[in-house]
Amino acid sequence: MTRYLLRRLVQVVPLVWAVLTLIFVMLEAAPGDASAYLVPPGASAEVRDSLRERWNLDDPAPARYVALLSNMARGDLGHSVLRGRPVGQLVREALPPTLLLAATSLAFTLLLGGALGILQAVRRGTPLDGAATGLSLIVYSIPAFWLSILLVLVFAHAWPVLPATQMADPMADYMAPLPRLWDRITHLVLPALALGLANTAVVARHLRERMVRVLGRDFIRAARAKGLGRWTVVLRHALPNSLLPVLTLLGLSLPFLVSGSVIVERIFAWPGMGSLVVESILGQDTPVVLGCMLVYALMVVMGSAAADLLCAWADPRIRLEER
Amino acid sequence: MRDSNRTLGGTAAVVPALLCLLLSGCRSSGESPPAADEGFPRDTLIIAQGSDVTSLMSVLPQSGADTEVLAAMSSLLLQAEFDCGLSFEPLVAKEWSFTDEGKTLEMTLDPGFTWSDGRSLTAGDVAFTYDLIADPAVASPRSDYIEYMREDARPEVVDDAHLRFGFTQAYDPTTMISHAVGVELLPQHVLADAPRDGLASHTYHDAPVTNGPFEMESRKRGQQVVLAPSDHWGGPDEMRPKLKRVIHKVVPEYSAQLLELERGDVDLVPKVEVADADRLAREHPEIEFYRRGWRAMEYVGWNQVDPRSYDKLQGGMPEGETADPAKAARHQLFGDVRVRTALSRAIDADGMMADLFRSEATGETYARRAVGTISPSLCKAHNDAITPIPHDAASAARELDALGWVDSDGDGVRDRNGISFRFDLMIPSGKPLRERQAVLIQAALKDVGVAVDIETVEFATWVDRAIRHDFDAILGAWSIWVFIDPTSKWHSGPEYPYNFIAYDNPRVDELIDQGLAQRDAAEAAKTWKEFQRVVYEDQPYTFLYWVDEIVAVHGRFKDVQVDVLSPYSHLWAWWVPADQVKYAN
Repeated sequence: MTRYLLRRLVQVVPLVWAVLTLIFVMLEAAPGDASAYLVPPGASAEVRDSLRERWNLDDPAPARYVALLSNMARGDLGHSVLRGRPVGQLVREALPPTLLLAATSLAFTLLLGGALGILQAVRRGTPLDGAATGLSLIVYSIPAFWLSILLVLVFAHAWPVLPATQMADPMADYMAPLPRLWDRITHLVLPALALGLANTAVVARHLRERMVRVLGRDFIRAARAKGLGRWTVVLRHALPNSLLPVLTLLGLSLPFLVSGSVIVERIFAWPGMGSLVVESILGQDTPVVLGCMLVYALMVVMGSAAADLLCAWADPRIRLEER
Repeated sequence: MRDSNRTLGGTAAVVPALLCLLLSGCRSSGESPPAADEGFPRDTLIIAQGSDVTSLMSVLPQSGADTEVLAAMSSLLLQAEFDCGLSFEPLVAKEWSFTDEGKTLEMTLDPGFTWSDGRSLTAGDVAFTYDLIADPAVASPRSDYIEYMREDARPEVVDDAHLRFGFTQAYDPTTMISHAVGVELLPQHVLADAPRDGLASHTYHDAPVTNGPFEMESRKRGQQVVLAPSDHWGGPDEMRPKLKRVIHKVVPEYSAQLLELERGDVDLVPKVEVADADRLAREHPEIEFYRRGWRAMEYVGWNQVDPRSYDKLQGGMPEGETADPAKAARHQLFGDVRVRTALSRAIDADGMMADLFRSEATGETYARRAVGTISPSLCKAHNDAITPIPHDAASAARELDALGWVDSDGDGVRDRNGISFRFDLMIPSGKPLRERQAVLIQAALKDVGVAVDIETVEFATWVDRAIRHDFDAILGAWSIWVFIDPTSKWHSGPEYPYNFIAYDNPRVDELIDQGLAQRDAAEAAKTWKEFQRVVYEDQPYTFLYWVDEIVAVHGRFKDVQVDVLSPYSHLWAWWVPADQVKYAN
């Protein structure tokens, strides 16, 4: 396993370099730069020139590329042009809310998708199965941004039972502990659903297919023959043997969670990596965009490795060294 | 739409109140101002803020959110008021006067003012703030402020309570005072040892030490900034806040801001579109609306130089130098004032105002025709005598005919000497209002045989290309400046990057220099009126209109002040009657 992890780690380097280079080239290809946002409108040429010089905006792109990447290699992500603060600091602030949202979304995905998949497998061929399949397909087809708006319109406007934006009520700090906790939970619901519902549909679909096959296997018939209850057979014997594709899916869903968070966080004013990336792209703040992309790339690679490890753990027949 | 002057009591109050609304915003309460001992502070005002606060140091680049939050926490040397122009009242400086033939501004500080950590505010703090502005390591965007200050007197500290700003030349006193008092002060005892090139990442931004009636209670980055009355407020008693808290909540999306306002999750949205204000007024009588008069001027800018010619010229310049637009060839379509005038006549600015800014509920139009870049809010300097060019497509067509621009090939587009009258109108993306305006302009010009291709680009690209004169025509907007200095937009020469259209008129250069050097306000106003007249005759822009901003505020807040300077001015005066308090904590 150590060899496997080391090999994955080495593979990260060219991948991350390729991602960062591509992003840099794309940002450079767009005309203009951060000075459009940095320099106050109507400021004198001296002010404009001194701000451009301060942030090396007049340096040739290759020089800035080399400087940014060599600093990154030394662990220095540089400074945000628009905010003036170290990119590492910005990422450290934005990452926890994003991870919280992603983890909650994954939990939703597992619980809702798992329950739906099991129910469909057990009731296969019934109208319930058909309806759930149709619903899954619809949810999977809806883009995250549109789903976000739909959820806000329904649950925050038409039937205002959940908050629409932010991680907490502005007055949360002045609430008693329990109401404050409840407030935090309610603020998580809509963005986590918006981010996770598409994956929920996928998990349900895959779990259903796998479980239908497992439920037809001999060891399940044997368990039933021994007089075990229906749900005991399903949950204790069929479910563990159906989880393998779900675990793989969870690992692979990380990139979707990450990319989806860019839009979802913006809509829900969630102060995470997504909001940071959107603001930085709009402001052509190259160091921040590259810093965030570095973190995203690492998250995706780690998610993929975690999925491999989980699969190996769930099914001992899988040998990591051979993959 | 519910008009905020309805809340004013008595007929006699209506006329001055209306003027106040139109020109600078005003107080809304019909109730008596509260006495200091009426159980204040109480309740919380929650403001929807489009972006997070990034910098709380006045010497660094700041967003709109930074400016507003910092203003609530700071007391300037003099209190700026806006009514037809800037005027000043004593605040941190209790006395001030010009000496040395107007080249020295002497000030005496009020010893009562302290920082929010309890330390006294001294003249040394003022000098420290200006020293930061002057330091190239800080790269302050406020360095314009010290352009005419002597190095040994920006300012000179006489003693803890006395200081002198020395200027190299005397110019408009309002502008001189603005340069001397317009910067929020920074505490020397906190920041003296901070690295000058690392101020943006200093911990000060999380726990600023300020000198205003409010101080920062807490901050959650990306979420909110909470202000509370300062424990060490040493200014006038009437400026002691009557609200317990002011929370700036980050809500980037406009639609989410409206939703939060409707739900009661926020109390104030600083910029509401007319159609939304109509709907909100209908459905939410508890919300009141205030106009911020003539804050932004929309225009079509006609490039005076040929972009290819200028690009070629710039390509031949040494690294770091900017070519003089005067040396580039004239734009083949817009180089002639008669053409520009005909285009302005063809564009139906009044119709656009009615389409975009008229309230269906009240019939009012939240904009007025523009005749220049000096806002009508600066009413002493605004030239009311200029009559905007009326829309007349038939006349415009005849004028173009007379200039030889006719549709000789029958393709529906005018041409002359083989050149088709077709051009790109560059607009920044992500601005729906700008897109709608562009379509209306395109349609209006099509009616007179002029073809417009709308080119939508990212804002950064828009600015970059505008500065490089790399466009045919642009649709943009200028915000109001509270003191008049048209140099960067209208002065000729390569050193003025915001003269996007490369406008070049020696008479205008002369008027700008003359206006800025005037010490007499009435004389300066005459010069600025003449400046507007000359520019308007040239029609380098089609000046469309000055647009009002509408601020929506929950009705429980009294003595609300909305003005040109801020969508929530004088927050220390706002209060809530005891029986309407929403947040008891």
